[in-house]
Amino acid sequence: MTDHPSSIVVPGQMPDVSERKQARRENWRLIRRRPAFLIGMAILLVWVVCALFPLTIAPHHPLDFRTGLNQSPSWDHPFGTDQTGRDVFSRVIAGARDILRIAPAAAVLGVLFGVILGMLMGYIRGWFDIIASRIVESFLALPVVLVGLLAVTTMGNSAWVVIGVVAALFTPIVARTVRAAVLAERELDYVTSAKLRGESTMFIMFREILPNVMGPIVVELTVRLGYAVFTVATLSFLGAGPPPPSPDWGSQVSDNYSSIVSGFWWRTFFPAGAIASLVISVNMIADSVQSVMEAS
Amino acid sequence: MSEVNFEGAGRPLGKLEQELISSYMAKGVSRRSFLVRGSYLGLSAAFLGSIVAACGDDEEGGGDSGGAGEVKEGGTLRVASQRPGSPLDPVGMDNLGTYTVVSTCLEYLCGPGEGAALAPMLAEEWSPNDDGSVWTFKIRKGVKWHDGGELTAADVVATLDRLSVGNLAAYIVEGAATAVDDSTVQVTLNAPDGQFPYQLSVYNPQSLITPADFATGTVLNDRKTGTGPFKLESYDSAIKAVFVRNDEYWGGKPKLEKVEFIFSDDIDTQINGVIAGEADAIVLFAVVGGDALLNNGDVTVESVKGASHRQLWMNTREGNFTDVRVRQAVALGIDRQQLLDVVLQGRGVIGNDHPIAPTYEYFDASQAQRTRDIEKAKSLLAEAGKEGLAVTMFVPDLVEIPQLAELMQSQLKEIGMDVTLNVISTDTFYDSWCKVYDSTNEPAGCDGGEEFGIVDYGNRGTPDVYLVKAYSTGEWNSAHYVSEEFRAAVAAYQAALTVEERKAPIAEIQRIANEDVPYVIPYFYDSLFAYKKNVAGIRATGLGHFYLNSAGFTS
Amino acid sequence: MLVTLWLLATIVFLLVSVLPGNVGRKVLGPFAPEAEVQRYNQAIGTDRPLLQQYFTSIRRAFTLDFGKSYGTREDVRDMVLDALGRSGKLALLAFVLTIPISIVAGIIAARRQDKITDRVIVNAGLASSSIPEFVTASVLLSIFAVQLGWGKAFANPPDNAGPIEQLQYLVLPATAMAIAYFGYIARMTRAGVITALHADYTRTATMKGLSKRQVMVRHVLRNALAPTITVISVQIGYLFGGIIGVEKVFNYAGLGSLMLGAVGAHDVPVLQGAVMLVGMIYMVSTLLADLLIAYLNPRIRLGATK
Repeated sequence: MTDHPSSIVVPGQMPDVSERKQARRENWRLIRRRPAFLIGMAILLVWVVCALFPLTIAPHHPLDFRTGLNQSPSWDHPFGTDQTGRDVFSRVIAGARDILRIAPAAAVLGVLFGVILGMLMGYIRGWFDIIASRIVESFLALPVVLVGLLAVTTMGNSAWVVIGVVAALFTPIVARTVRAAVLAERELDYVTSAKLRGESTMFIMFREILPNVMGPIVVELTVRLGYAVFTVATLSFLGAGPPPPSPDWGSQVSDNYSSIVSGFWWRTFFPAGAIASLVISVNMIADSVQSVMEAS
Repeated sequence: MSEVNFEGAGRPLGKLEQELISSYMAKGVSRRSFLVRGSYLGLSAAFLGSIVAACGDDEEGGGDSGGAGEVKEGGTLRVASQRPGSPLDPVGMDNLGTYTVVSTCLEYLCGPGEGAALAPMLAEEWSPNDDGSVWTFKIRKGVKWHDGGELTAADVVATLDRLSVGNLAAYIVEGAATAVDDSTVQVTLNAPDGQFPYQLSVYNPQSLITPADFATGTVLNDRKTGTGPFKLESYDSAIKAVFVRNDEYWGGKPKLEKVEFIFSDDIDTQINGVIAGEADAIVLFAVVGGDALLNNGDVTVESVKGASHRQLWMNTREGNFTDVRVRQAVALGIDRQQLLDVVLQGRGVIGNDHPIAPTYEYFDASQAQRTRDIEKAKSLLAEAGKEGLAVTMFVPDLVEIPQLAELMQSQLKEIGMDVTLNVISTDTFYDSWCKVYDSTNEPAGCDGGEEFGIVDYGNRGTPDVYLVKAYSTGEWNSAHYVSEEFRAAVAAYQAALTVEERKAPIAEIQRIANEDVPYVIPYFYDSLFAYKKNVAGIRATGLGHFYLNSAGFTS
Repeated sequence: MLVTLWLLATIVFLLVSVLPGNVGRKVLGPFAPEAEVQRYNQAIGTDRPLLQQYFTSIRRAFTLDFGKSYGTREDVRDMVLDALGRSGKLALLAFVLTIPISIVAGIIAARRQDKITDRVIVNAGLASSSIPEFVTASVLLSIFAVQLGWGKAFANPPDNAGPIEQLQYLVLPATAMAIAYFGYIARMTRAGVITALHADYTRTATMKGLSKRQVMVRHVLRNALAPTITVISVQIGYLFGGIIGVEKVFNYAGLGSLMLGAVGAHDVPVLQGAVMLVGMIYMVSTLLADLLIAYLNPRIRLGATK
C-alpha cells in the first residue's frame, strides 16, 4: 500500500462542465484498460457477492459444527473443517460480511468528513485553518491500530466503535490532501468569477471547487479503503473484532494460528488468504485509479 | 479389626476424627474418601495408612501425578505461563499468573490433596475442637526461610493477623490466632466452621504464609523470601521469573536446578513455545485452542479434576422459564455426553444440574443421572404451553462457552425450541448478565440481568460459593431462584461439622437443585496442563499453582 | 511541536477519561462493591472534577509521567520505555533487513519501467504490503521455528545474550516486518526514481556528458529518496500497528505486547502512555525526515514540502 504524497494537485485552468465530463470519461476508459484494475474488481466483486448472499453460496451453515472435526480439505469441505467441525469454506464466505460492512463504512465516513473539513480549511483559511491544521497534525500522530485498541477497551467492542475510530483517524489524513488541492483551486479564475457573480461560499465550495478536486478524493477513497480493510482485519486479529461465533476473518486467523503447528493449516490459511486477497484487490484498484488520475 | 492403635495419631483425637475413623471401619465411607477426609482433618498419611492396613484394605498406592521414568538430578525447567497481572504481593495478588510465581516460593499451611481434599504442607496436622470453632495447627519444624531464619508459630500468627483485615475478615478478627508454643497455632473463629482449613490452603490463594515482618504490600521481588522448593532469583513482569533450587527445602532437595516461568498473555504463544521446544511445560490451557498439545506425541497432557463448571441459568421469577416444566424440558433436551465430547473432547464429567462435583467427598453418587429424553421434553413443553418457545441465550465470549452454546442451540432445536445466540465480549457480558445485587430487595435475584444464558464458575474447595451466591442470595442468582427448602438444606450443610453430617443435606441439595432446575449444569470440566515427554513429577492444581519440588527430566 | 503534543494529550484524555464513563466500575468489574469502586476512582483520581483531571493528564504528558500500572503497579514510564526499546530494536533490524533490498528493487523497477522485471517487483511489493504482518508472522513461526527449528518461537533473547545470539532470536519477527515494509519502500523508491529520471535536471546532467552512474547517484537518487523518507516517517504509526501482531505471535516483550496485555487487563494508564509515546515518536520522526530531506536536497526548504 502506498500512501501517496499529499501534493497531488490537479492543476486546472477554468474547466467547463462538458470538458470535465469528457476528462472523466477518458480517465474511466484508461482505468478500465488496466489489467490490475480488472483483476482487482473481479476479486472484490466475488467478496461483495459473498457478503450479500453468504447463506445462498455457502454449502453449509457457517455455525453448523456437526460435520466432523479438523477434516482436511476435501470435495465436501474444500477448505476443511475447524476444531468444532464447522466448514471453513462456509465460514470464510460468511466472514466477508463483517469486514465489508465495517471497512467501507469507515473509509466512506472518513473521506466524507475529511472532504468537508479539508474544503473548509482550504477555502476559508485564516484562523480556522491554522487551528484545524494543528489538530489534524496531532491526529496524524495517533497510531490507528493502537488508538483502535484503546477505544475498544474503554468504549466497548462494537462495530460502531471500530467504524468511528477508524473514520475519525482517516478524516485528518483526507482533510490534509483535500486542503492542498483546494488551496490550488481557490486562486483560479473560475473561483474568482464565481465570487464576483456573488455566489454563496457554500455554492462555490461544493458546486464549483468540489467537482474539480474529485480526482484526489477518488484516489483517497480507494487508498483509504485498502487501509481500512487492513486495519479492521488487524484489530479483529488482536481481539477487537466482532465476538464469536461470528466467522470474522481476523478472529478466525487469531483463533487458529497456533493450530498450524499441529498440521491443521487450512483453518488459518484460508481466512488469512481471504484477508490478503481482499486487501490486494482493493489496492490494485487504488493503484490503477491513482496512476491514471496522476497522469491526467 | 476393631483393635486399631489410635496412638499412631500422635495426639488425642477429637470428635470429628473419631467419627471418621469409626465410620470408615463400619464401611460407611470408601477407602479413598477416608484417606482424603482424614488428610483434611490433619491426620498424618502414616497414621491413616495404618488404619487402612488394619482394615486389610490397602491395595493400590497413592496416585501421584507425573508419569513413569527415573527423574534425573539437575536441569532448567522452562514453563510457559500466564503473565502476572498484579504485583508479587501475596496478600494483594488477584490473578493466576501471579499465583504461579508467588506460590513457587511461598507456601500454604494446607496443600492440595486428592480430589478436593487437603494435604499437609507447612502445617503437619490440624484439628478442630468439638464444635469446630477453634482450630489447632501443628507447624512443621525445621523449615527455613530463603532469606534466613526458621519458620515459627509467630510467622503464622502474623500472617493470619494480616489476613484478618481483608481476605479472612469473615472468619477471624485480628488477634484470633495465637501461638501456643513455637510450633502450635490456635485459631479462634468468629463462627464454627468444620471446613476452615480450606481458607488456609491452595483454595484461598492469598493465604500464603509469610515471615512475621513481611508487611502488607511488600512484593516478593523486593524481598525474596519463602519456604518453598525454589528461590526467586530474578523477576521481570514483561519477560520471565527465574528460580533457583532451595537446597534446604523441607520436603527434600528438589531435582531441578533452575525453573524459569516464561510469561505470555497469549495461550497460543505458550502452546507454540512448548511445541517449538522452547518451553518444557505449560501451566494451564483449555481444550479450545489447545489441540496442538492434545494431538502431540511429544507432550503429556494431564487433567486436574475439580468443581469448575458452566451454568445455564433460567429466570424462575418472570418470563419464559417460570414454569418448572419448561426448565426441566431444557435439561432433558440437551445431550450432556455429546456436549462434553464435542466441546471438551471428553475432558470432564457430565453434570446433573446441581453444583456438587464428584470430587467433593460428601457428593451423593446414588442420585439418578438425568439423561436426554426428547419426547418427554417435548411433552413437558406442550403441557406448559410453550411449544416452539423462542428465546435468546446470552453467552460470554469465553473459552469454549460460545461453542457450548452453539451445540446446545442445535440440540434444543430438536425439542422444538428456537434459541437465538447473543454472544458478547466478556466485559459487556459481565456488565449485564446479573446486575449488582441490592441486598435490601428480597426476594433474591439480580436487579435486572438477562433471562437465559451461560456463565462460568471456577473451581472451589467447597461448594459454598455456588450454593450461597448462585442459589440463595441475590449476588449471582441470575435465575432469581427462591426456595426455602433449598436454603434450609444449605444452612444444614453449613452447620454440619463432619463429612458424615454433611451428606444428608448435600443429598437434599442435589435433589432439590435437580428437580427445580434453576440452572442446567451440563458438565464439570477439567483443568489441563502439559509437559514434554522427558519431564515427570509435576503437580498442578488448576488454580495456577505449579508444584515442581519433585519434578525433573527423565532423559 | 508543543501544541501538537498538547492536542495529542487532549485527544487521549477524551478517549480514556471522558467517553468511557465510570472507570473504576469498568476496571473492577460488575461484581465489585460500590464502595470499592469509589475507593478505586478516588485512588486514580477519576472522581475529581473533569477539569482538574484534564490538567493532571496534560501535566503527565509533558513530564512523561503516566502514573502506575493498574495491574502490576509498576511505573508506566519505565514499562513503556523498556518495551519501546525492545520494539525499536526489532523495528531497526527489520529496516536494516529491508531497506537495501527494497531500495535496490525500486531502482531496478524504475529503470525497467513497464518491463517484466518491473511488473514482478511492483506486484510482489503490492502483495507483500497487503498481507497483514500477523499473517506473515504466523506462517514464518510455524514453518521455521516450529517445523524446521530455525529461529525462535519466543523472541525475547536471554539477558546476557551477545549481538549474534540476539539476532538469532529476532530474525524471524524482523523478517515478518521486513516483508511488509518491502512493498512500501520499493514502490515509493520506484515512483521517486521515475519522476527524477524524467526531470529536467537529469536530462541536463545527461547532456553534460556525466556517466549514467554519476547521474543516478548524484542527481536521481538524491531527489528520488525524499518521498521514500517521507513515507517511512509518515508510516511510523502504521508500523507500530503491525508490530503489535508480530510481537503477539512471537511473544516479544515490546510495546505491542504491552499494549495488548493492557487492553486485556483494562490497564488504561499503560495504554495512555503507549499511545502518547508512539505519537511523540511520530512527531520526532517526521521532524527528522524533514531535516534529512533538506540535507539531501538543499533546494527544498523546510515547510515547502507541505
